[in-house]
Order: sequence, then C-alpha cells, then structure tokens
Amino acid sequence: MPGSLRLIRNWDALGFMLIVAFLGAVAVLILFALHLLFSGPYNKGTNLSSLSDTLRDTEFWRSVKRTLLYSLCVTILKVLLVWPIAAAFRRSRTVFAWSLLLPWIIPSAVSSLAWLWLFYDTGGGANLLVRALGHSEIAWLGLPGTAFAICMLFNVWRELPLWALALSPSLAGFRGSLASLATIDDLTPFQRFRLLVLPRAKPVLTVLIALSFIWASGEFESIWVLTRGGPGEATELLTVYAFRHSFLSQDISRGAAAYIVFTPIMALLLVIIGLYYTHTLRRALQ
Amino acid sequence: MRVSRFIPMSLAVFCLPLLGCFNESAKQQHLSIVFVQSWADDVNPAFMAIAQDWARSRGAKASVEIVPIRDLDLKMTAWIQAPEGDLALLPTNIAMVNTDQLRDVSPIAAELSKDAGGYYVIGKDMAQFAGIWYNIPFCAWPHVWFYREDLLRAHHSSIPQTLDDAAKLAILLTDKGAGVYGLGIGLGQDEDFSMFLQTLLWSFGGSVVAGDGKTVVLDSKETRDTVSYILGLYQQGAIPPGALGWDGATNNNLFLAKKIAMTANALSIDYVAKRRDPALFALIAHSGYPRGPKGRFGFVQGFGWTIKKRSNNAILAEDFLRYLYAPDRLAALFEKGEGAIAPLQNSIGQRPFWKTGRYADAIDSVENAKALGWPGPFTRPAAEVFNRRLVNGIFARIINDKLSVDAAVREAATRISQVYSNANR
Repeated sequence: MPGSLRLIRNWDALGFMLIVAFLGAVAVLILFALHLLFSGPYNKGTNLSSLSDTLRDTEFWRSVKRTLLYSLCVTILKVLLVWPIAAAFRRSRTVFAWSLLLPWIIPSAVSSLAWLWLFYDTGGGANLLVRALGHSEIAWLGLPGTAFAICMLFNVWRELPLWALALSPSLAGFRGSLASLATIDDLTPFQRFRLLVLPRAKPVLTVLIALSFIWASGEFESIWVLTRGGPGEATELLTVYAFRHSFLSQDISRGAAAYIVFTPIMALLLVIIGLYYTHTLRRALQ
Repeated sequence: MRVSRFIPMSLAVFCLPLLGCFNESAKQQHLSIVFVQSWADDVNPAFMAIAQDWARSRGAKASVEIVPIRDLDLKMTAWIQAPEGDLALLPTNIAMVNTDQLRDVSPIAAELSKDAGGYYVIGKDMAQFAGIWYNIPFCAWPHVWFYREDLLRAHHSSIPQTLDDAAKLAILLTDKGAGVYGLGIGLGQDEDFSMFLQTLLWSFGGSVVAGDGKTVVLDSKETRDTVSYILGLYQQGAIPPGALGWDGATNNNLFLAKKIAMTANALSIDYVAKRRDPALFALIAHSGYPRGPKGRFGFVQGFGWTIKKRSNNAILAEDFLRYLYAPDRLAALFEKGEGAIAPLQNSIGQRPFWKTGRYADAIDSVENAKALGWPGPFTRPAAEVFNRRLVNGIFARIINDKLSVDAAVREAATRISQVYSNANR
C-alpha cells in the first residue's frame, strides 16, 4: 500500500496534522499582529511605543473591564434563561420550536439594524409604545445604562437558540424513567433540576460558557451598528477600541497592541474554564 | 482516483493561473483607482465612464473601486497599508496622517492648478505639509445649515444670522408635544458633530492649537463658552435626548422624518428629499453657519487625489488626472453631484451653476472653511485629534459621567497635549 494512503488511514496522525496546521495558522496571525504592532504612521522603527501607550491608556483598561463585564453578564443571563427555551425545544419539534432558532439564523448585521430602528430615540418602535402609554420618549441608545443593557440583550437574544439546541438533550429523561425516580423521592422541581438535569448538562454547559465568553469578548458587529461604542464610551468593548484606533485614528499598531495585551487575560480565563471542564468530565466518568 | 494520476492533475490545476502570464492583455498598462462613493447616484457611473474613456484613449486598463462612504476609514486604511494600489481619492485628514506612504505630488498639483484657476484656500491648506503637496485638491463635502421653512414662517422667524439667534430659534421651534426638536445635531462621535463643533469653536474665538501648530490651547474661556452654548441647548431640550448616541445618518433620517427643525449637514438631505419627499424638499432652506462672537467660519471634509509612494504607475496616474481635470469634464462631474461634492477649484466654483440657492451656500462653506489645526497649519497631530474625536468626547464626559465643563475641557486638553507630544518624539 502506498505510504501516503497508509498515512491517511492513520486517523490519529491526520488529527495531529490538522492540529499542527491549525496552530500554525494561529501562529501566523499572532506574528502578523506583532508585525502590525510595529506598523502604522506613528511607530518609528522597532520601539514599543504603541504597547507602552496602550498600557498607560486609562481608556484601554476601561474597555478591558467593560469587555469582561459584558462577557460575564451575557453569559450569566444565558445560563439563567436558556432552560425554558430548551424545554420548549425538547417538547415540541413543530414549526414553533424551530422558529425559536430565527434569531440565530438571521444575519447579525440585519438583526442589529432592526434593533437599532426599534430603539431609535425619536420615532423608534419602543418609543412609539412608550408615548402610547403616555410617557415621554426614552433615549434608549443615548443613555449609557440602557445602551449597554440593549447591547447585552441583543447578544443574549441572538445566542439563546444555540444554547437551547445544545442543552435540550440534557432534558431528556426529565420525564420518564428518571422523572419517576424523582417522584419516588419526592424531589422539588429545583432539586430535580439540580440533581438530574445539571449533572448531565455540565459538560455541554461548560463548553457553551467558554464559547460565550470568547464570542462576547470579540463582539463587534452588533455593537458597531447599535451604538458605535457610544454614547461616549459606554459600550466601547475592546473590539471597538481596537477598530477605532486602527481605522479611525489610522494607528494600526495601537489596535494590534490592544489585542496583544488582552490575549493573555482571555487565555488565562479559558485555561481556568478548561481545567474545570476536564475536572467535570473526570467526575462524570468516575 | 489513482494516486499516480492525482499529483500531475493537481499540479496542472494549480499552474493554470500562470497561463495569465502569457496573455497579451496582461502586459497592458493597468491603473488601479479608488474613488469615494457619492450619495449622488449619477456621480459614480459618470466617474467610471471618465476612467474607462481615458483608458480606451490610452490603450490602457483602468480598474476603479468605488468605496462606500460607511467603509471609508476601513477601506482607505487597507489601501494605504497594502503593497499594491496606485491612485486614490483620500479624505485629507487620512492623507495627512499617512504622508510617509504617499508620493510628493507638488509638480502635478501645480500644473493642474493652472487650468483650475487655482485652488480654494482650504484646498491648498489641506493638501500640503511642510511645503510638500501630498494630495491634489479635488472636492469637499460642504456643511451647511438646514431649516424647515414652514416652521420658520409659522413662528414668524427668518434664517438666523448669529449663533445667539440660532439658539433662540432652536428653543422656539422645539415642540415636544408634536415630537419635533429645534436643533438636531449629534453630540457623540459622528462626523456632522465633529464638523459642527470645530466650526463653533472657531466662531467663539477658540481653537485646539495655537498659530505655531504645536501649543495646545483648548483649555480656554472660549472653549468653555462653546461647550456651554451647545450644552445649554441640550439641557433646555432643543437637542434630542439621545443625541450622544447618534451616527452620521441619524440627523438626516430625523430631518427627513420631520422630527427636527434645523440641522447642520452636507447636501445629502436635499438629494434624498428631492426624490422621496418633494413636498419637504420644497420647504428646505439653507444657510452657511451663523456668525459667532468672533466671526463666520465653516468646515468641510476635503478629498484629494493621492498617489501611493510604492506605485509603479505614477506617470499613468498623473496622465489620468490631467484627463479628469479638463475644466469642462470636471465641471460636468461636479454638477451631476447636485451639491453633494463641492469643487475645490476656483474656475469650477465660479461657474453659473454654483451661484444660486443651495449650491451658492455650498461654495460659501468652502470659502469660509478653515483647515484642521487652524490658526496653525494642517498637521498630522491635528488630523489625529480630529480622527479620534478627542474634542467631541467632552460632551459624553459631561452628560454621562457628570464632569463639570471645566474638568471635561481640561481632561480633553490633556489628552490632546499627549497627542502633540507623541507626534514630536
């Protein structure tokens, strides 16, 4: 048998090659970011002024804190809100159930625009309702608190269907044999959830939490369409900070520096989540 | 498929593109041009036609990329950073920050100036740095004030001549019951507010930097007066409460929806109103910026033709520009814009088309405009301060973060001083 075919038949080797290729691509991206760090109109040669300017910039650290807070809040909201939707998805395979996937299916740019029109301060759908109730218009996207909340709600609304789809198998047996066990022990619904559903859901939930953190921290499209990081810097996540510096201020090296500083912070969080995931899997196997 | 045939076939597939090297048309001179999309639809195909006519007449090839306005910063940055590319119409504030990537176009700028009857002062100011021309002045987005004439008549008012009159009018025209605000201008990072704020700052006698182009003088009584003027209108409810979160299109949309009575904008509002709401179009009045305590000023977003330093087609690019700048051809292109783009060439601006109505206001804004960094020269840090909206940020700090006017102005001045000190290191 030719050597190349023998290799392809060895799936472990193929898997290893794919991982190497993937890590190679990541390495190229990191090297490119480092190249950008030394590019742009403000950098002179190989000095690290962009990196030091970024580290000294209080606006950068505010956007880091804001990004971590945003990621944490949307993740917690998803963990709390997903169960009814997952249950609905589990019980019914009708058009109604599949329509719950619509927020996930519609392109983010399109749905962001729809939310923008909904929350326009003058003439938007939300304010038409507010005026119909006899109140004066609210500057939904013009006030820092409401703008941040709307950006978070959009993220949760958009990703909940994916969570529900991924977690609905965990609810299998909630009725039936496991449920009859629960009835025997006279467990409350919360106890049934904690003792029957949660252990089964933990592995998938851990992955979803990690993905939510990663995706939320890299959120750009919806934030840019809804608020452009405003009002002021109320919704300026790190992506918007990097974009603003790279393309609006024409300082690509500052944008690259922002991500080079942020990457270790995210990597640390993901290592913690990864360790917890491994621990969870080990306990499940024992 | 047998492995023995797989490799030669794969090689054949990958080598196919190399056949392009033997294609005769691949040896044709090829100029790549980047043009900024105009919201006046007729301008874009007209420009494409000019480029293709030129290419045919020279036996060359011209590929034109029309960059949408919303992608301007992103695309232009990518163009500058990319190794390829020849000729682009860049916003002057972006060109100024990237002069190290751009060719010295002083000779061609001087040559084209002769047929153009010279450039407007603002065009010259935005094209040069340290005596070297980095772009050839082409056009500007004029910024004028818009009024609902029906509301002016209903309140027995006329177009205000001074900023004080404008403030009183804005409050008079505000009717919250009807959902109409007197003055619709964003207070955030949108382009319209950047231009509005800069103009008002000069009108009140303030500036970001002194005449030497290096000393930051933003922290002044005149700046506080400017901020208090605008803030006063917001606090009295003449500016909509969500203005901090607006983008560049919000005031357009609200004016067209009859939710605001006055605004400052480019002539894009007219263009859309003429086609979608002729009744509203008939009710729109314009003027240049009202006079402040220290005079009448204006601000325009300038655009100039730049040639990339790395381009191998500089001579071809200059030939195209000579073709484009033929006076009648250029004048016809600007007239198709219906005021969306105002010329920066004296001879074009003096033609009868630009003498009446809103077109006259557009030329007026060009004539009264000052370049970023005025009263000093147009410099890279001046462009950076504008691009980063560091002066705009004062309003968010006051409204959202409850800073006092003094503290917000001082903070902005400190950040701007850092920009100027970084530029000099």
